[in-house]
Amino acid sequence: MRWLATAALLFCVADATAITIVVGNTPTRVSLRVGSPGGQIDLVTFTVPAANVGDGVPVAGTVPGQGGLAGFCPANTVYVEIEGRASPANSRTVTLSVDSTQPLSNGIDTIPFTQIDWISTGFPPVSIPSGTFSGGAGQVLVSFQNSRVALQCLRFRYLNQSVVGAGTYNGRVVYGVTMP
Amino acid sequence: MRACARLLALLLAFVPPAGAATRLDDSLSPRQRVEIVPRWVSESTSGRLSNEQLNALVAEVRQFEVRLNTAKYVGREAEIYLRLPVAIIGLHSPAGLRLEWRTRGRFASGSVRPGERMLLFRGAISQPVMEDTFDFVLHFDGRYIQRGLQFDPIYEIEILR
Repeated sequence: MRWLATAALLFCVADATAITIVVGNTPTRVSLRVGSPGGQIDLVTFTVPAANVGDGVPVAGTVPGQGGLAGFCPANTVYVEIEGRASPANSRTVTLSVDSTQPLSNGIDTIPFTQIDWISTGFPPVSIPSGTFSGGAGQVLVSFQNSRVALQCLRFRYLNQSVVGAGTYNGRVVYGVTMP
Repeated sequence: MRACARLLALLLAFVPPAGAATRLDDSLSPRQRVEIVPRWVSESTSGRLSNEQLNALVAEVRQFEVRLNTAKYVGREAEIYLRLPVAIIGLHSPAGLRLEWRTRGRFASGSVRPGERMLLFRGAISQPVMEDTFDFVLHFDGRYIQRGLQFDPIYEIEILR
């Protein structure tokens, strides 16, 4: 009889707990912005005086405008923003990589992207280290845990370590981000 | 069995003393389970968002009818509160959830975090069932929640006289 009374009491208490709110799927979001918004491809220009070609003194690049985000990055730098949102924090890894396999070319000669480096100015909590393009695909620049945003200003330099033929060399690197 | 029935009757008729909070039965409410899918509050960062803003999620539950069984308290002066439990499945920190609501006026609007309670009503209980329609807004910090988070808002009463 005591058992019956206890069971009835438990039932009564449980019955008063009626309304339950449940969170279904939580959203995820990963995004990458390099330079200007809206899919624009920004141009970094290195001008090497003829007398200095191949002398090993780096030449800093120039970037029109404010590097993609007015008032945030210094002049002649490129703004990079990587964002990884998911729940809970630190449950996923955000990885930024770059493909620099296609060298710069003037139509005749080429310059590998290993001749270009960058100096980072980062903002906590995530920083992209300064470095040099590897000339390969999938060069990992930084990895960090989700629920953070990485904001960087990159200053690119042409290392100017080889004598190359005269002309204008064009090339493109492609950045990508994943958060599996 | 007769003793069991007497015990049940005693329990059902029991009115707690003044000052003691007792959970109210909300099982008369039409909807018993609501599944929500939060969304990010800010879509774009552009370097201007704090970590709190970056990870802010929100979800709404509109026109949620709440009916509280106050039959045992008719004629008594009482306060009714909405409380969130301090421990919530799928919530890693109390900072990860704030429940805000607006009502149609029978109860007061307000907001609570886990472990807190907010006054909904103070006065004489005149009806065996008190009801109002709530518009809930759930504010989450995505860093501290996970899929399957679930909780029961607790409605509790304190008898004043």
